[in-house]
Amino acid sequence: MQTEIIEKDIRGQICPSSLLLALREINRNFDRLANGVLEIVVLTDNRDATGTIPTTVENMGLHSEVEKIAGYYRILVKK
Amino acid sequence: MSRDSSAEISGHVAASDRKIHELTTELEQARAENDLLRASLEQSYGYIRGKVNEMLTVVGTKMLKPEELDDQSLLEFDPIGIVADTFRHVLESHRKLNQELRFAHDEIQAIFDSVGAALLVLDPEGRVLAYNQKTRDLLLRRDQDILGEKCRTVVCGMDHRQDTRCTFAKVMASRREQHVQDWNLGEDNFTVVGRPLFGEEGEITHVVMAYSDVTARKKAETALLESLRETQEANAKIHGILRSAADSLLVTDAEDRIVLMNERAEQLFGFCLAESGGKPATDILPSRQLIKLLKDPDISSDQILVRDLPLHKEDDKERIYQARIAVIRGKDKEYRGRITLLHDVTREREVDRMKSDFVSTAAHELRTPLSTILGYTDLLLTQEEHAREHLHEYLNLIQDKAENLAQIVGDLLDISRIEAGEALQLSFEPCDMEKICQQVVNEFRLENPDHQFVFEFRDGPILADADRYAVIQVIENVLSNAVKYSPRGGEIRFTARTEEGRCRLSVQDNGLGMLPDQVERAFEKFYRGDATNTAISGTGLGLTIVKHLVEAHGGDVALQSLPGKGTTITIFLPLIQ
Repeated sequence: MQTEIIEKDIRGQICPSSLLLALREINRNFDRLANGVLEIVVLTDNRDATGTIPTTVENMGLHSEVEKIAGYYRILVKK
Repeated sequence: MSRDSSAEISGHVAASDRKIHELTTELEQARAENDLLRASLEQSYGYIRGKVNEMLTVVGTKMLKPEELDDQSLLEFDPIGIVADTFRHVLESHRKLNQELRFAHDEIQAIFDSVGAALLVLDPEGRVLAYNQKTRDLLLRRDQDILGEKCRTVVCGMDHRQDTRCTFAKVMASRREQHVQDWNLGEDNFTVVGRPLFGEEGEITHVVMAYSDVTARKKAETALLESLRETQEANAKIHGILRSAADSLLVTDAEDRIVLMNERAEQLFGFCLAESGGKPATDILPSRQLIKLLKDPDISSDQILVRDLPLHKEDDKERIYQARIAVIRGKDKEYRGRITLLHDVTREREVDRMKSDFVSTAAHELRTPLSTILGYTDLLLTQEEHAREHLHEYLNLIQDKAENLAQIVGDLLDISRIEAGEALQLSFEPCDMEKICQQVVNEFRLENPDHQFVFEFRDGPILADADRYAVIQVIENVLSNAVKYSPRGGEIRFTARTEEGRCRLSVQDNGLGMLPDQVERAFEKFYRGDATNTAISGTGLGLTIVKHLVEAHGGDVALQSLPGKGTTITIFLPLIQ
């Protein structure tokens, strides 16, 4: 089964908006994320978000991987 | 303007004023209501922002600033809804986690209770926080609740600050898992494992101790080691016996591979067990006859197969071996291999052959004088007149042949006694060797006129410490051989003298002589240099008896011979002291 990937670019947003925007996207797609058929990639240039998004995601029973790319961060949210 | 019109206008104005007043009042009311509503809306926005910020604080992020999201956007964006949904997912995730934790806890509790080892959970001070039923069974001396008690007071009585074998103390000191073998409690033996559990700060919060009762295993191991030692000793004994056995031994397995061979077998076949390299015995044994025997179909039966076969040893001399081949079977009667024992029977077979030769020779030796005796006695009985004329001559001949028979029978009786290990009955006395030897030589000279006897006596009177009749028998046997094995006219030289404090007698002939291997075997019983030559009489016992008689005197006998040149036999006897 191929996994679908949604990319959410929230660069330019600061905290907590970046967290809320990411959470809104995650909540909308939570069941598919939890079933492993979907992964969400969040692009953010807000450093605080690299701490708050993964922490909240882990509390929701999901996993995340943070990757630093030139000038911004790539946060992968998956089952 | 009419009065009516003015009144009408005044009425209208008044009405307008009232209307204006009413509108003004309404407007004021509306303004007041509007202010009230605006205040309420601002309060609502403030409430929403406050709640959102409360929730964001819980999430662990910063507060939401108005410039980041204005009031209108705040309603549209619905952060409370977002955070509420998030919390719902978080709570659901935690519920699942709690459920998994509860299952895991139940599993661990079940393992804790049912595991075969005694388990103790201790705090850093060594106080018991939890323990399982096995702890009661294995470690506690009485049925007591030990929660909160120091483990050393309820389990072992050790002072863990001093005892170097205290596993708990080792774990606390090393901050690592520790294993202690052979920990004893009373007569029981345990293997103890202590493992630390760490808190968030890296401090030891608990130590889990596991005590496995290995008493039975230890006893079994000890018994097993003892059995193994006994087996090894027995094996070494058997191996030693087999290796030192005089016979060659070869053991093969069900696949015909050599699994054991002793030193004799290695010498016989010219290779050792390691060199056999697991190959079938029938592929590597150097003897075709033995291989043929091992392939004999009769060998699969449980009968022991016995066969004689010739084999060449390393020195390349052919020898005769008696092979005894037996099948090895397991408890299940299954074929496991064969044991082959090779016994060197060369000598026995030679003795058998010599006995056979002896029987035919002895029969010949006995029959010849017996025929003469019978012939002359018959003549004496039937031809009286003729016999009367030759009576003395015939009786001498009969006596002569009877003496021959007596000599043969005497030799047989002597060898029979020697074989039976009976001591020879000798009467030692001072013997004048010149007189005795001269007498015997003279008798031989008379009886054998075709031979030349030379008698040399040196060194004056020689008195030997000997049995007179035994000495005569020895000299007669030696001279008899010299006569038989030398040609007519041959010289037989008898010399007597002293040498190194002993009496030395030697008889030298210039007869047939012997080959080196004949010399080597000349003193063996029944051995005759050329058994097939029936023209030369003899039983093969003469020199054997000579050797025994001389050695019974404490003397020696030696023989030198060259084929075609003759033989010299030298005898040493002790002188009288």
